[in-house]
Amino acid sequence: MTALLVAVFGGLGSLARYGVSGIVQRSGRSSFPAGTLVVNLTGAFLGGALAGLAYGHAVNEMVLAAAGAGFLGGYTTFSTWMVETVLAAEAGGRSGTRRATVNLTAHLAGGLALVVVGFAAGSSL
Amino acid sequence: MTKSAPPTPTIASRRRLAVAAGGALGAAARWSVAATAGAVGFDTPAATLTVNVSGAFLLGLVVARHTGRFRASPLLIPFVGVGLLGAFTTFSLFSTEVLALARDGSWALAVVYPIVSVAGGFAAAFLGLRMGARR
Repeated sequence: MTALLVAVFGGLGSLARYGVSGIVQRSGRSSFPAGTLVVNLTGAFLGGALAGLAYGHAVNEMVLAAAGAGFLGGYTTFSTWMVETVLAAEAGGRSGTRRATVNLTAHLAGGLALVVVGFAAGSSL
Repeated sequence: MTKSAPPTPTIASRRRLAVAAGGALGAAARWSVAATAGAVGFDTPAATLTVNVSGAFLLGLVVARHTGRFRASPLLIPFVGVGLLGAFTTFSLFSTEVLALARDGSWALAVVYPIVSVAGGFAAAFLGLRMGARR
């Protein structure tokens, strides 16, 4: 039953990622993979908020699985982040290396900062 | 009264459907890997590291195959790449796990886990792209 919920919400989260990253990517002219970055950073914030909420309150296990492992798990992605980083690095030149480095550090620094902010926000609710 | 033809799904809506269906399968697969890992006594970071690194390798393979001579269905990337492997891997769980390790006071793991994830994921994606590009 829980696995089914995770699947349904994972499908919805993936659809949201497809929509959001497409809008972000189309709104800029740069080939920098900003769509995946925006999705992953917002997902890290929401994941932190959910963890904070579950820390301060008794949240139903099924709701946690559906929202966390399902929706946010499907909304965010690690594989696309990695492949886009390798492709940027392989594009060559200084700008390629710079894009790959920025993509790695922005994800790590931004993701970890936002998960902390999200946790603080969620646990104060 | 003429019988109206069923609406033809546009390519955009078929892509969305492929993303959602692949995403549902990918999330369920990740959930079962985590459940299996938990059953044999591994913590969630180990399960997440496994899906993230293997998913990065597989996406590299798929992307390289698709952009090479081998062009399959236009729904292959939305279904397998964006949906299945996108949802199989996760950044939100990865981030919350790092936070949880730090909050538990496992500082060494909180530093090592992201480094191993990124180094492993990068190497796996690189390898997948290379292997996929070969004949």
